[in-house]
Amino acid sequence: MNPRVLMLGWEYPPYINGGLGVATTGLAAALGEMTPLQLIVPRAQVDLNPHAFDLIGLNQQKKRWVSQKKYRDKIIEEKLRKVKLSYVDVDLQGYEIEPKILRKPIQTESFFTVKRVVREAYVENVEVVEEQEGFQLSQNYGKNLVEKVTEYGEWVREIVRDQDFDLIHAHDWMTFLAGLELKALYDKPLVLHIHSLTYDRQGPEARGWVYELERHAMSQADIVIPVSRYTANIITQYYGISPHKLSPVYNGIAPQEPYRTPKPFKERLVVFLGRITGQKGPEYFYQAAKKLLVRDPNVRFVVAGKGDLIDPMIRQTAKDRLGDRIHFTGFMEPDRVTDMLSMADLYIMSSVSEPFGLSALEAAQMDVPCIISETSGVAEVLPHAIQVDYAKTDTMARMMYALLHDREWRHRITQGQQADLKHLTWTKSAKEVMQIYQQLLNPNSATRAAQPA
Amino acid sequence: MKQICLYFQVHQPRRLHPFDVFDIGSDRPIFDDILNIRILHRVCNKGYEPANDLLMRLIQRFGNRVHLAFSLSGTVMEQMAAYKPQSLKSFQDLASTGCVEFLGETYYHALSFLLHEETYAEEILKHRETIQQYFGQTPRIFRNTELIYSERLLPIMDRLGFQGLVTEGVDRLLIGRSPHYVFQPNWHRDIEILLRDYMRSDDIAFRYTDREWEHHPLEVETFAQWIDETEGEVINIFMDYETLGEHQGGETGIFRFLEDWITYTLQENLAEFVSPSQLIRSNVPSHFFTSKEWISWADTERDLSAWNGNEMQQEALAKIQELRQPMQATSRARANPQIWDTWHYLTQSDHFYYMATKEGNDGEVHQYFSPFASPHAAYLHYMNVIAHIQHQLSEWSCD
Repeated sequence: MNPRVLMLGWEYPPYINGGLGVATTGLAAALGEMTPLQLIVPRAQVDLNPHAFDLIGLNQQKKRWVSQKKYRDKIIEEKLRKVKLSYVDVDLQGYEIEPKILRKPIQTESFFTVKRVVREAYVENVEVVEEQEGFQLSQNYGKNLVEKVTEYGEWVREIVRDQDFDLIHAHDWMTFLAGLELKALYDKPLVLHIHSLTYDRQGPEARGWVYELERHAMSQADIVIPVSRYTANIITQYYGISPHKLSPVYNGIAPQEPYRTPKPFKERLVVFLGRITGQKGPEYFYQAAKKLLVRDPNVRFVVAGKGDLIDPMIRQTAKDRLGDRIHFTGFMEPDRVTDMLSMADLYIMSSVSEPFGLSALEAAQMDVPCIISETSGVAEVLPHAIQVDYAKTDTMARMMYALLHDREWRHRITQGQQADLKHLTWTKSAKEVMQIYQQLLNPNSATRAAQPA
Repeated sequence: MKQICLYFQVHQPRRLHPFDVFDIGSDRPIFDDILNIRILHRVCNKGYEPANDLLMRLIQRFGNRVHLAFSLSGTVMEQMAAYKPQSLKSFQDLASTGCVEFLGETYYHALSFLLHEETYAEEILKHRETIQQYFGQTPRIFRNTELIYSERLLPIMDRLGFQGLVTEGVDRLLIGRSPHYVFQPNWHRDIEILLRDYMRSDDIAFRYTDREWEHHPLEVETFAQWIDETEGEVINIFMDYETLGEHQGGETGIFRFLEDWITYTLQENLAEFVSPSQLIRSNVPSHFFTSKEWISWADTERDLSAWNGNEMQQEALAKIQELRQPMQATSRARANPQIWDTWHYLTQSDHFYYMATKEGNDGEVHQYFSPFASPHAAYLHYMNVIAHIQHQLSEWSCD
């Protein structure tokens, strides 16, 4: 029997910041063809969902707190039977929440203890009815992220109350609290999908409560799906999670026929695409660009994306008097990205740590030769792209020059990249995830979880 | 009797269209003339026209006792002539009273004095011709872009025959002296300098609407009394004309205040309102005002930092300056008036002003004027336009 999947996501089109939203949608769409699946995200326009899965946008929901006596009793029963209290050894300061359904104030300690008290409060309190307008999330990663992540968990718990499902599949740390809580409440297997880690975003030394949450959630999960072996290694090395729990599944990509658009200008076009933040290594791209310009002035560089480093980088460009060669565009809509790639002569991904790197696949699809960082997941699936150490900007500049000037080589690389792409479909990814589900639910009959080739 | 010199700066820039990297080499328009027309109409309707009506009433009532000065950039005259002729007409009506003096400046409200001396002179002459054409006067007093001044401008002032110039009464150069006299740069120059009284000017231009200000709301009598108690005989009140009705809306009572104050001053015989040329004729310069450095009326620093204070502004200035050389060297560009016109418009001080990254009040003023979301955005679009022209030139040189 096909498992009923309860999937928890954070980014969903059109509100996407990066690969997470694209990957969540791609995987859910393909899985939805194979098994019943409900995806709960903070924001979505549900009536526009063209996919086979059931989509819930919390922005379009109304939250009902306990409203009927009967209902309340049922909850209490379940709770008494099923709730297992889990204390977590993490520092969650600045993370206190106000319990909404209590009349008398209670002592708030950590997030986790508050949850417990709230549940007990159902027992003690009389009718409390509160309707609230849909979940409000103005930015996927705003200043109030912690609060929103907590609130997301509360909403999900309310939505899921009427439903039955066989397993929980949660994407990245923003949904992990919700996933952990559902696992505790309903005793269903929890699958965690890792698209990005604190390690990637903040470096190997970074610690803090998000790291702790990631580590704790992965240790509690039944299985963890990293998007690459690169990420699987980080999970074992930096999070101490047993490799037996890890089952990497590569991302797919929606097919796109390559096309070319003439550039309005005659210089060659080299693109960097991604958030302008330390993890993506934009400054290494910049250094390499500067070196290449010395050798070949007939190149324009476009840095597409936004992020905390954009303004300092723009000022550096001005200081180096390169503002007429290195162009920043800010955030670019997906269609415009494709248009840009259709003009591009070279794509560079200089990430310091990239769990996967979907945009490299997009570039490869559009027949743009790619130079990608070795420290990336996509390097495992795009062997025909040129791989470099992001910090070796001399090498990067030399490779850029060679690729821009050697037509034959460019051709071989773009052909090779197209061959690599043939293995990367969301259907293939979804089949591997299905095998993981089967093994999880029927450990005796199923074969081992598939390992990517 | 004290002499009050009122001078209003009238200027609207030709703002850029957002211009992204993929517009380089395309035939997309560089300037956002739809935006420029919209702003022009707003400013004319809310500011210039009612203010001109007010001045006309005062002149009709008090005749020769009210003199004042305007400086209109070439850009604003051009925009009014094309899109708001009735506003231009209302300035011409004022000119025909004989009570209004028009100052000289660069046609493009440009920073060309930093870029190329000959171009600077050409732009001043082009402006002079335009003033002659519209107002039948030849400017004798010079007002450099944003009252920027240093002694380096003097040779060209001499050459072009200006008798006086206006600039900012900068404290660090006055060293405790009062700005309320007529100055000269040194013994050897036959040119006189009028210094803005920034206290009295900013009382009207900025503090008038500041509710936190202890003198808010400012009373006509109080203001007149301050002027009366001022040491020295000459009070130069210089400000942007857009202060009236645009930066401070009509509903703040700014028009009423100005009209009442001028009326009160004249009725009580407290002072006379004179033009800069009258000031120069009726006063012998009594002090030296020496400025080897660049000064201006902008920001707290009163220097060039509003336009060249950061890397982005410096690069933009360097790149627009460098463009001249290939433009001269390419025969198709040399003979193309349009590309030169564009070049001149790109030297407008406003573009660089939008790129300033200052904080606090000054930063807010910069951002208030900018059509772009941030100084960085202003810089990026400007540099894309520079790249666009570079690209055009290199195409032409290949032909």
